[in-house]
Amino acid sequence: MVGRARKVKTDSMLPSESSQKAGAAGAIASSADPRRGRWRVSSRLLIPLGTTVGLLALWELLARAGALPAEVPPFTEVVSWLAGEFDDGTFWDMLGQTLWHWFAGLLIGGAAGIVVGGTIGMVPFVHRLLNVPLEFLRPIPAIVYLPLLILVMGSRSVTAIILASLGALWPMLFQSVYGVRAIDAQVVETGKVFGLRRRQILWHIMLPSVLPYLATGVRIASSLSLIVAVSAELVGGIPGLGTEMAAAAQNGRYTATYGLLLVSGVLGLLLNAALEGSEKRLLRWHVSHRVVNA
Amino acid sequence: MTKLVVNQLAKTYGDPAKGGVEAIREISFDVREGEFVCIVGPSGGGKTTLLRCLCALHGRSGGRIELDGRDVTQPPPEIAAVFQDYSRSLMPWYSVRRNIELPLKNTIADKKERSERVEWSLREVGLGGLGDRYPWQLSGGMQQRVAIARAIAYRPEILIMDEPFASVDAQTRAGLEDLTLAVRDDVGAAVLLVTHDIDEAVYLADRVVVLSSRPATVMEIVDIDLPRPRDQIKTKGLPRFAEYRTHVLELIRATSQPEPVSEAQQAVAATLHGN
Repeated sequence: MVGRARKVKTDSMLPSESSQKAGAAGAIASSADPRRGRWRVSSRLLIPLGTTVGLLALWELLARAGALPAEVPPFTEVVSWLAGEFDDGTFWDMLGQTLWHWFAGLLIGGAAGIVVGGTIGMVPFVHRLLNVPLEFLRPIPAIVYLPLLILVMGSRSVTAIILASLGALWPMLFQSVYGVRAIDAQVVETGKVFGLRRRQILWHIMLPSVLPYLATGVRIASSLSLIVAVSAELVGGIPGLGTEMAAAAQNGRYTATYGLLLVSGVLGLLLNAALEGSEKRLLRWHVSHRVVNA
Repeated sequence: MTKLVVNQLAKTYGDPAKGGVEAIREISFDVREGEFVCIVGPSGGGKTTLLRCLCALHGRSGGRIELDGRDVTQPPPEIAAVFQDYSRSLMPWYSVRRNIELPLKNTIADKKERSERVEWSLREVGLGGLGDRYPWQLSGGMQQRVAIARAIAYRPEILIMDEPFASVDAQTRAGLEDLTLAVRDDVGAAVLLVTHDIDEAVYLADRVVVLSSRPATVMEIVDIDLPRPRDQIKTKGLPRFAEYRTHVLELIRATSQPEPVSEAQQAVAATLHGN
């Protein structure tokens, strides 16, 4: 009597016939026409590429025609300067410094944000305790603390890291609060009825529920951490891309200024793309990433 | 043998002195081993409160709940549940297989035995081979069958179902009702099913507990003496089925609030009375 397969006729086995194949075959082309699928992929890459190339060409053209101020060199000159820098060890050192400030800031600020935000979300008393001071501190830009920190700590990496952490803290903190508040009581209660222990509920139910919020938080925190790190370097003379940018500008080496600007922009782009990619893999179950076989 | 005894159960939300809501009042009934009991009552009448008390998801204001003679104070391992909203009770981040397996980690130590149990439960609900899917890749009816599979894999002695078929279409609903009956026969668990659908209650149950409107009390416990196995067409065509149905319907109608008077009617009444 146990273990026999049962077929239920009244309930259709699958949402749709095509879904079975589409689910396995992949995300890109669920339609029957393979060419349309390919077009969709290429258009997804081509359109942003087109705008980028267009803007760069416009820059080049305007600079060559003398329509831009003399301090703005043409794009090709900036690139050829950059190409020379790539062979230079000091350039990579600078980049490494900035990346370190970004990473340490994201890690420290992000972790602190998760801990504090998670506690605020779960314990109403802590929320009441911290609500007013946090709302007071939140709108203050992290960079404001720079002069004070330079006085206390000096123009060192630690200063940039502390500031970058502050930048990363807020988005993670508030995303954690929202995430914890959004945990569905129903699924937690289901866990309780099925005898899951507290640790299991935390790990298997609460954490995955909060994860989409944290992923968004990490992406915002990452770009803020980078912005604050580069600004701190730029204003505070802390070794990194920012200082180099400031030095180049002050000495009239505008090609270098724009070259480094380009590098920090591309850095932000790549970091965001990497985070988005891992988010897509980690949260493939989430509504925003589901491969819906409709 | 009596499995579950509910005695004088009461639940009031908030402070009764300060306008707290009395959801249920002095509810008493029992569930025998392997019995199918349906609870019907008007909507908003405290049916879900009753089930939440049975699962020990919240405290009670009075009375006793005894499972095999022991007072129920925390979710008992003998009870598994299927909720109305499958999309909120299944975990979208886990595959169907892991959804079913998770609760078993505490009850079955052997990994192989555990996965065999999962596969068995999937076959039992007609979803064999779909363990690798995610719940959201399945239709509503199939998701509810995953929830049923998770519940029976847990090997409960009492299966509690809270409006389990209210969120699916009528065709699927009939299929799930028959599936529940068949699974119950295989597993041998008692089933306590809450529904507002009187036909469904009479069709499924050995006994129907009819609740009044809020605060819910037991109006009557109706023994359903219909032959098993039940059949959607034959059973529902029996004159006895119609009698039970009418009887329960009359009870429910008697306790339901009268329809609220519309504003238009009030306006007419006001004009007639000259103010």
